[in-house]
Amino acid sequence: MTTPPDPHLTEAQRQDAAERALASGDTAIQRHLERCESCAADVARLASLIAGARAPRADGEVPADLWPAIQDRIERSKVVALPDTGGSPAVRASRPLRTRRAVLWIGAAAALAFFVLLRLAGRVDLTSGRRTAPELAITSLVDSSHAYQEQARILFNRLSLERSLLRPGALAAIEHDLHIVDAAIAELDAAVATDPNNPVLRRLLASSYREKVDILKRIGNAE
Amino acid sequence: MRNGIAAARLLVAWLIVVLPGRGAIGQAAQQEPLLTARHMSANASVKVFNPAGAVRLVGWNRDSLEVHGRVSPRKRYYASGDSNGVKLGVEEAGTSESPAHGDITIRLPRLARVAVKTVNGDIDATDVAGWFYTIAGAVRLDGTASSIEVESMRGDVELRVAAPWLRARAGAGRVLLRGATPDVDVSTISGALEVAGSAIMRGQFTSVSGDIAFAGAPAAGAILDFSNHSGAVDFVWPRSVAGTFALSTVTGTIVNGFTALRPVSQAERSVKFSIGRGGADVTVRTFKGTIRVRPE
Repeated sequence: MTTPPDPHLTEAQRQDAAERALASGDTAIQRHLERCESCAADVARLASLIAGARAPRADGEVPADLWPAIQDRIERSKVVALPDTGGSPAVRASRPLRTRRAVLWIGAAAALAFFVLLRLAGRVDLTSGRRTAPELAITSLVDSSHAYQEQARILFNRLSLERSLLRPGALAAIEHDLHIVDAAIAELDAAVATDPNNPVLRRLLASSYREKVDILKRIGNAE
Repeated sequence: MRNGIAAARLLVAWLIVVLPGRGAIGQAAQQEPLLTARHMSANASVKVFNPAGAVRLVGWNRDSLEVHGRVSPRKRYYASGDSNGVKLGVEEAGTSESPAHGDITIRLPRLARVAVKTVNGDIDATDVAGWFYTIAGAVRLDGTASSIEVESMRGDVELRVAAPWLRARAGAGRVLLRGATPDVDVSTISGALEVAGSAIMRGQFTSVSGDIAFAGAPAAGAILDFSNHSGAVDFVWPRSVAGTFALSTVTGTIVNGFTALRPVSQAERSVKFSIGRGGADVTVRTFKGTIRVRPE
């Protein structure tokens, strides 16, 4: 019975080794490096790259020779070495199948992880197998409020930029309407803070944000 | 029988008063100087901009576009394009010139789509579909159209149209909605919103501080959603109204004018009740506005 060949280090292990080489670490990886020229050379290259990146530069510029080495490493990592099958078409045809199987396994694992996360978050009712309606409603309303809030922020920044281009009448109207909506949003925010699970409040808040977004969207037409 | 006579009298009165008036408007417009006349495809696009002055649009059953009106100074009027699309209006004057003004009437194919924008001028349209935008003018639309989209910052909006769908946004102006539009999305910021919509099947009505009033029986199977922050939501329904109504307010009050009505569930500031069989599904939410329900 022969001893199986010592496998090469993975990319993560090589990077670890390169980091540790600088900090003079001593592990099983280090012992492998002493035996394996290929890995040792690669780790040495990595250590040199890291050292180059960390070295303080008086002029504050990145050294010109740093990027080609990094790029080369990224490109090499994209190439996957396949086992030699002697060019048999039958074996070639089976590769996509294996890939598909791997994808299916990964997909199943991801779905399981997602389900576990949802379960931990208490959003899945296992007895019915579905998310409960009120929770779903509140969650989606929170999401819609946040979406409107983000959109309103972007549009408000645009208003700040385009304020000088607006007709005075239009600007006054927009500011008047925004003042009313912002006052309503402030009241609703305070109410939501004291009663966060009230779906009526959540819907009213989402509705007010929608109004704000609508006002801000009219800016483009008011120029 | 008495009802039939009354209806006939109303029809005669309408024929005597309204039709000649409409004809007069049409004649008056045609007596105005002709600004543009050209062939247009049935489903052409027409873009109109008039910063100061009124725009009137009339959809007609001809394959042509006619623009009448008075623009001062005349050189500020422009119109360009082809049979599939025309851009016309009044150019704004430079800062050193006196402001341009133009009142224009546009006749265009009934299936054409418009994009109309004014600053202070009113927009009137009959049988015309498209987008209507004004900062301070009033918008009045009637007739039939394939779709209507209205935005007004301060002006009033009056919609008496039959269209498959309609969307209107107003700021401080009042919105009045009549007509036969099954799909409606209307909102105001502080302006009042008045709806008489027995033909509405899907409706979303929103205001921040303006009062919302809905009169008439909601259609059977309709889904109507009302939302108001501090304004009131007022319903006047016939006694024959049917549907499920869910009314909720956070700090406001709910006033029930139907004395015979017994809610199926009632919590603090939340009432749900059903009247009749089937009917509409109506949801109302306010933060501090009063919700009133009363019979006609």
